[in-house]
Amino acid sequence: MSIIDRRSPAQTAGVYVILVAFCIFAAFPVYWVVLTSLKSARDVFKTAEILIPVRLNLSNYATVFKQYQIARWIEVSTILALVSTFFALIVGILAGYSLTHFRYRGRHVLAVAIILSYIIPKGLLFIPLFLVLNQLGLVDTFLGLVFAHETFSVPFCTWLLYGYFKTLPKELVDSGRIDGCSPLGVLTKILLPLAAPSVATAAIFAFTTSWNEFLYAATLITSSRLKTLPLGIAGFLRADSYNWGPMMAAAVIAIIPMLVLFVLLQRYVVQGLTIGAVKG
Amino acid sequence: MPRRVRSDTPLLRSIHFEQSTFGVFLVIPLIVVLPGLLLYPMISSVLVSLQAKVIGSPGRYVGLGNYVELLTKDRVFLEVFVNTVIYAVASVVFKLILGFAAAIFLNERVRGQNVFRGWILLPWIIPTLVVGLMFRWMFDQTGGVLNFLILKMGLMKIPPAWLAENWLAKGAVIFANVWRGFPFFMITILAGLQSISPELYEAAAMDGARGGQRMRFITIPAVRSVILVVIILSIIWTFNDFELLWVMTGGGPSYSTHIFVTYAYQLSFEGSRFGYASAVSLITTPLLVIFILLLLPRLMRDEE
Repeated sequence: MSIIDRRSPAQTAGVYVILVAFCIFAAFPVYWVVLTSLKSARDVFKTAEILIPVRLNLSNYATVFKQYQIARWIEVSTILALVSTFFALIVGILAGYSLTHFRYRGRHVLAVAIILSYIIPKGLLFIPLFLVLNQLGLVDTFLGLVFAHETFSVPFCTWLLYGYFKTLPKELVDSGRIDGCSPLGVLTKILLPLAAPSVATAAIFAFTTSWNEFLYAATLITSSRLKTLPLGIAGFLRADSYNWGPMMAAAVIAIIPMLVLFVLLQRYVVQGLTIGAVKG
Repeated sequence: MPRRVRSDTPLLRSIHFEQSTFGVFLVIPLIVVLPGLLLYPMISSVLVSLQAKVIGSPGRYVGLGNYVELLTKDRVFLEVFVNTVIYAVASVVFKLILGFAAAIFLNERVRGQNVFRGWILLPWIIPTLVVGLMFRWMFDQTGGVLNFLILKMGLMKIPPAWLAENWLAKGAVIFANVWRGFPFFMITILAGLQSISPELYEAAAMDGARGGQRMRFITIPAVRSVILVVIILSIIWTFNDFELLWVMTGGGPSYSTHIFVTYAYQLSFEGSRFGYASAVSLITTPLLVIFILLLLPRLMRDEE
């Protein structure tokens, strides 16, 4: 519902102009990165053609795949995001079901603990997490990375699914039980099909956050075969003169999966974004 | 295995008992994860902050020594503290203004609302690390697009080295943070706006309330709670915005874009002073506790 009443054509035009301005603001840096990634090394610094696409080619992408281990980084990032999302979903689904449809002591404390763990920032966690994983001999291992990623995936998934399961009526569980489902059967046969959109939201968010994660990778990983995509891309900055072309090509490669997920599943993404602040 | 239940029989109680046990069983993974990956590290962080700790050797207990050094001797810490406040406050203010404005205009009846909304969300889906690289390149002195435009329009003869000067660098990182973060404000505030019942506006219009009055008496009160939650979450995230700063400026020039989290990283992973670095990151805890106390009742509102 609008604030402006009975918009005049001029006001309507104004609304569109402002929205388009926002769109340009949002898209321009991305356009600039894509454009840079498609320029040859000679053209990257040629300012006269800086905004206009001319002599575009894919040489930077070829460079990235030939001279850097980007295929390996993508592989590590993908497997890491899939594995950590999978475990977070299992923990979240079981805990969400348990906390909302069973009665036992301490479940309210757990509900608060989930929110607290969601709010605890990485900035507080990254040093002690490194020290703990170091004691366990898990620094510079894939398992250590998975553990680190669960620190944000599990709280988010659990909280989101807990919030959703809470909205499902208890009668659903009761009738399922009376019809002869086991407690686990109620979850898999009745509740999960209903919760599928929320599970999708949780999965998208956990996957995206894992895919984008950099700080834990930077603190935990030293060997090149375990580098994630963000860690690998950050490595472009180490050299004395930056190769902006290949670097931006690698950046575009990191953006593409997120863009595809977003375009295909925008509804779930929006739902997940607003759940923290608006729900309840 | 089918079971018939009558509500007043002991059988019901036994089912509930069985269910509760099963419920506890289901929550075990969470009970393992939360203390193991969050509580234990947090406690050990406090303990480490009381030590002079280097990797590979057991820490030496120094009591509050790290905190005393931090607050009395460390000049850099003072600068980092001021930077963190400037960075967080300025970023959040601009994100709120832009996000609120975008939400208001998106909430107007427009064609292609979903396209506009999705488009404006674009910055939010770019990996933060990439955002940092992106703006590092845009603000680049010789090849960056910003200086190209400045030269082209003849605004300056010699355009500035944005990321090499104290206040320019501060402004640049704030700009990048705002660009990346305002869509979150936009989308949550928009969701808040959309939950306002149209009848409220119609009734107000009938009573002769103008646009400005409707904004003040209906819109703002309705989204105030949402905005508060978004602001607090955003402050917490901005305080911990390691990725963006680390790749964009590395905290430089000198220490002018270092905030707590980058400083703690530098002290620990580059300087190997883990105890001292833990103290640096824990110093923000009282503030975090205040934020959590403000947030909890709002996030738990639908609890019994």
